[in-house]
Amino acid sequence: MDEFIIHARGVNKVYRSASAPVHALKDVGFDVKRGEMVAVMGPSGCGKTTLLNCLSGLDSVDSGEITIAGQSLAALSDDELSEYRARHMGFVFQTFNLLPVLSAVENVELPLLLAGVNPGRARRISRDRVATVGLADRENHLPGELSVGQRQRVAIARALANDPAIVWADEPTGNLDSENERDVMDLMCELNKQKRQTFVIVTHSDSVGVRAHRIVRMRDGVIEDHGS
Amino acid sequence: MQTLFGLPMGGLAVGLAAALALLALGVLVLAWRHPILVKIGVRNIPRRRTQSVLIVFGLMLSATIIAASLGVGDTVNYSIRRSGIETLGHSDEWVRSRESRLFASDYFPVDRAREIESALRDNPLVDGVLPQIREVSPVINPAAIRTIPRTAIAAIDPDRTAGFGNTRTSDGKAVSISDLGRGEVLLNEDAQEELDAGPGARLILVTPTGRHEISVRAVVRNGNLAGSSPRVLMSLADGQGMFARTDQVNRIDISNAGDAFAGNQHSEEVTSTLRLLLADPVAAERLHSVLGTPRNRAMVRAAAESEPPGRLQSRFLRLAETLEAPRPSDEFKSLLSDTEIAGLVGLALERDGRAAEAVEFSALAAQLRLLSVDDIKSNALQDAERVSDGVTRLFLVFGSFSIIVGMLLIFLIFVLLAAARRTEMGITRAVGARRRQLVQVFVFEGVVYAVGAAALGTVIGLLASQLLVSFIPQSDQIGFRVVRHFEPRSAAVAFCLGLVLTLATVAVSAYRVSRVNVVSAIRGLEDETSHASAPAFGGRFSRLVAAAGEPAVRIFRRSAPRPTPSGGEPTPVRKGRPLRWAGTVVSAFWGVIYPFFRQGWPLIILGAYMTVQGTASAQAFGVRAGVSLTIIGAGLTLRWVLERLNVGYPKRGRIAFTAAGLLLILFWSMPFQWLFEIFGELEGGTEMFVLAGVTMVSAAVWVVMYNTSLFVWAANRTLGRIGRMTPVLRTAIAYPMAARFRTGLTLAMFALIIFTLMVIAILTNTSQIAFERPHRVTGGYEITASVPVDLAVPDINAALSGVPGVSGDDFLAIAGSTYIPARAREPAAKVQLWQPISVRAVDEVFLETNRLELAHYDPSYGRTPREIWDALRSDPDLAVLSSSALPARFEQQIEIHGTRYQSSQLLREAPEVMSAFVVELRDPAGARPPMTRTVIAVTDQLADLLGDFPTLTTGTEILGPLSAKPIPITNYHFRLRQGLNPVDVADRLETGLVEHGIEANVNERELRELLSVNNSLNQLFQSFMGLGLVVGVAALGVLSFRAVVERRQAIGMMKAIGFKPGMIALGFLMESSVVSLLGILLGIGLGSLISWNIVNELKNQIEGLRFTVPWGNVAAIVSIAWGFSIIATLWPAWQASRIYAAEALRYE
Ligand SMILES: Nc1ncnc2c1ncn2[C@@H]1O[C@H](COP(=O)(O)OP(=O)(O)O)[C@@H](O)[C@H]1O
Ligand SMILES: [Mg+2]
Repeated sequence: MDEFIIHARGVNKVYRSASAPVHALKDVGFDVKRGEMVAVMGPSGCGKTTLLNCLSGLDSVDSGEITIAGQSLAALSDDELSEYRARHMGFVFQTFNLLPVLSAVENVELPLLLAGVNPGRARRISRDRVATVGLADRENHLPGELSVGQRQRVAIARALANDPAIVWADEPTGNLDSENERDVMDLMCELNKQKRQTFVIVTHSDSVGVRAHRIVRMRDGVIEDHGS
Repeated sequence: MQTLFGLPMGGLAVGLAAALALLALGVLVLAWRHPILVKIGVRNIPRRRTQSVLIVFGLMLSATIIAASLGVGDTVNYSIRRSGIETLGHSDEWVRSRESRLFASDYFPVDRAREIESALRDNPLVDGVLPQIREVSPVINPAAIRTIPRTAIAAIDPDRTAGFGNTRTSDGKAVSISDLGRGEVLLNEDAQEELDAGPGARLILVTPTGRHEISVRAVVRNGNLAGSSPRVLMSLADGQGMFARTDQVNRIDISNAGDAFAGNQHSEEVTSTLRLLLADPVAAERLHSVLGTPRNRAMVRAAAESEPPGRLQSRFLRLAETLEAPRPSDEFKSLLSDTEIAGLVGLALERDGRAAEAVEFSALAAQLRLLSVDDIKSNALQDAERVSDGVTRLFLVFGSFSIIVGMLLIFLIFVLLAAARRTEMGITRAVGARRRQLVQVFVFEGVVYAVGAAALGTVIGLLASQLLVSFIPQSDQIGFRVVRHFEPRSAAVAFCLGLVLTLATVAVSAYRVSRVNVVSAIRGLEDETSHASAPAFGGRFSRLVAAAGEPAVRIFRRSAPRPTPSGGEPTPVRKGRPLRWAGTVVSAFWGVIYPFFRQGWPLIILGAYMTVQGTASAQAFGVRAGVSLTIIGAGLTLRWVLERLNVGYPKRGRIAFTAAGLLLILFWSMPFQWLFEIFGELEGGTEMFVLAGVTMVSAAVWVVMYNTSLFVWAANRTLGRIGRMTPVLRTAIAYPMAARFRTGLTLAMFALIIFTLMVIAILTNTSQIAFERPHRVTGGYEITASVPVDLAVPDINAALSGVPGVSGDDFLAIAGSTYIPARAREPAAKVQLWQPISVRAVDEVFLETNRLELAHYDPSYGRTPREIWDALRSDPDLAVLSSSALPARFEQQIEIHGTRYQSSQLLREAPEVMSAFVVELRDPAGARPPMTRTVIAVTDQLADLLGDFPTLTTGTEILGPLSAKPIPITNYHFRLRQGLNPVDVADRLETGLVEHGIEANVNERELRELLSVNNSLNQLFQSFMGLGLVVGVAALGVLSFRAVVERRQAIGMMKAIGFKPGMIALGFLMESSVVSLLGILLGIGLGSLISWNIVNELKNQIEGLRFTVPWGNVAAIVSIAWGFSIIATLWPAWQASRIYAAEALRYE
């Protein structure tokens, strides 16, 4: 059991805001091993993003239990969850979501500062991270001054800034062309290999899927195939 | 109020309404031509309720401020008019002895009144002629031990009160003078209150003939004959008995047809009829023959022709006509009875080199008037007009800051609206709408908002004005009781003016924000403002030619055979209607010249031209605005040059505008004296304050916003080490600094308001100096007492020995003085008209003991105030002027007096050493030959605090030449022994010397009251500026609301990576604090800078004035401004903190 860094059982999620309730996750069970790179695939609207949000604690669940590295998410308050995310998780989004008013290196050091790392050290670490994703010469550029591929690399650098145990990536290559997609995937695979960080990547690109250790397939809120 | 900035309100309302109608017509035409655009525009309105409320709020401000200013003016006007009407009742004109200004007691036979009465019997414009005795005497109520040293006594002919309104008792019963028995009187309510005497009470009236017992028949309401302030009414016969003036009166009141207000409209006609009636036929005959000589006829005509055109000139010219007749006509008499015209003729004689004849003439002209006629009501109403116009003007000057801030808010709102609708606008453009049509959509939307907002704003402004006037202190210093009032006309003007301003702002904003890059808008990308250079001049010019020539081309085309439109060929878009054609030409023309403006040199030329013009006409506005424009132009040029030199985009703007901005601030903050040394003496009014504020603030905001990276860097450096709050602070600074335009606008709003508040606070604070050294105001005398002329004290020391409770050695000094109205002019001045001045004749003791200080003095007469005053003692030909007799660069006061003497010799602020100059003086009627005095010094401005009519102080030797009759000392200045309480002494003096009607004022008490009035007015203005602050705060609220919407996704991400909800909220609060505090800081800095300059300038007037920042007041301003900015952000901050990350991340 301890080998699973992510452990979820009987997770249900119903969206009630729409006119008719949408049962987005139906009794989902999901385990990920430490250091594993898992791809979640499935048709649009099947519940991939919902799964990711619920597992990472961004969204609440209706029932079921989620444990991350032995810590039950249900036991944490909103503030504790924030803190937990700042220390142990990293996020990469389809639309990058960098703060447009901060430079690359400043964006990357945000999670570090949030985790209470002193500013000098934070700056050193984040410059190092920016260099890792190959943007050392662009560290003081604003996101608006970077190409989309570069922006996603900054986002990855940010996700990795505080050496998180888990990196959540929701369609990280959705806005990228195939060449940039390959670059970004190379980067993630390499980091995964080097640092033994766990990656959960939601995607509907097969070329992304094949590079993961395992592909989990979803349909209509149900996991059809846990892969191998 | 009848006028605004000297323009008649009625005409203003009509003009504005016409302008509005024109605008409305334009909008209607556009609407009719493009109903679809109207639909888009108007349907935008109900989409967001909160947003609409905010927009209406922003748009309503101009109208609110204007309505509030006008409303305050109306109240002041109405209150003064009312108090004038209350005092004067139905009396429109007074007929008095022509020397009555010198003496309250110049009597004339009552037969004069009979003559006037019979002459006016058939005059439909006059409904009452009332002969009376008016005196000011002490009245004692022995029962209640109360005394009024100065009670107005009106002894009225009981048979002639028709036309002067009723007198009614407090319970509404009519009671008239004819009901009174011998020794019976009526008291008005004010007298009743002060004497505590009801019906039946027995009082004692003190007159020059002794004590008289009177009994109160009834108490009557104030107003009409009962007037206001303590007044005793009695029959004329009683009065003549008590004052020993058998068959004499000293005043005849004339009531014009119509009620107390309406009668005034006949004033001019009745006055001239009366003057004619009272002209002495013998003197007229002589005057006519003196002026009728050929030489004099030609001289009068030439003088009249050289007058500036106007009412005075046309009357002067008519006088010249009457000289052609063989005999003095009625018009001749009435024209020469006017002192102004007579003065001009006397002047003409002098210019002709016949000074002796001029003196003779003016004595003769004085004799022409058997009695003098004053259109007293008219004067009172004009005073009301002048004061309220001044008040409104002041409010509008201060209010214009708020109006500007309101306009910035409108602009900001449109910027945000456009940002919110970018995609939508992009799509509209993509499907074929032109930019002009986008502008129209915004305009239609804005019109709907603006009309509603202007109406609402007017109502709120008028309500606010009624609230604001409660800050007007109820004090004798103000001189009227506040009665809330507003004119419907003001509402109309405020509505129209507010709407016009708002619509103009809406139009400009709509034009500015409708620029949208179609592609990036649709794709939702960041707006990258295009920096593409304009096409070359040739291209632009040929476009203009093509646009202008289009109709000709069309005519040519029409005559040519039309090509049949085939399948795919697009139909011509242009329809060539005249309106559209004109629009195209104008925009093409703009296209030709605009790039030049961007190069800056046209602004330099324009600015230089304005500077030269301003220097030539000595107008500060021209010079200041001109130089500022030149600097701005230079900034643009520098940027253009840098562009040529291939300096990068953000950098070149930064260099050029930082330089220009700093230069502007430098220019505006340099000492005024330097400016005058460079450009010569310049004239400027309160509008300079607005120009200074707007320019300095814009320049500072420019500098700040072009150097944001510096701020971010500095902030990160200094504040970057506060632990986990660092990321919050960092984003809180980075966001506003990145949104340069929005932040700049909001900064400017805050800075402008705080700037004004700061200047008000600092300048009000300077008045504290009067407290620190009160002897500069009081001359070092604790008590100033005065007695009526007729009850003057022959020997004050002897009189004091009979006063219980005081002894001779209680007083270190008892100085005496007397004020006499006179006319003055300077032989060296350009304007040679005689103008009113007050001569203060002071005795030896005053010259010996007063401690008044001097602002200017001629060092050859003495180097200290003491030496100067001693010089006056040894030479009776010397005099000292009050500083109110000097023109000022900074006229801080509202103009209360009409024309009066102003020295041409030096300015109040003049830093240079003064040299003595000669002033000519004469009696007001011009009946006696003029005399001269040499002015060797000017008193400190503080000495004018308790009365600021221009005054010339000199020895009592002047009394003889100024008046035919001996004038006694009427004012006493007491310096008390240490340890005595002035209040007690003043009380004892009033009781002990009641026979003399002495009124003793404790100077310190007066001073304190004056300062409290000052402080209340300061509060009044500060609260008025509060309206503007509300706008700035609203702007921050609007910005925050918008930020919550715009940054939803980013906030979701921040939460995802570990920002706690509290941190998000805190970030928003910090963000608005960054903007408000920076604005406050700019405002404080610039406000202090300009105030420092002003205070330095005022130092030349008031020695010892110090620049001090009233920190308490500043702290209050800062905390209120900052506090409200936080409050305005609380709600959006809370909303932001509640954004649900999982949701926010999902949607764009
Ligand atoms: N806030 C919401 N309210 C209602 N339904 C939602 C909401 N968010 C997502 N859904 C629905 O839940 C289902 C799963 O959505 P999502 O997890 O985004 O799918 P995916 O990421 O696989 O495309 C979809 O049918 C979607 O319409
Ligand atoms: Mg998804």
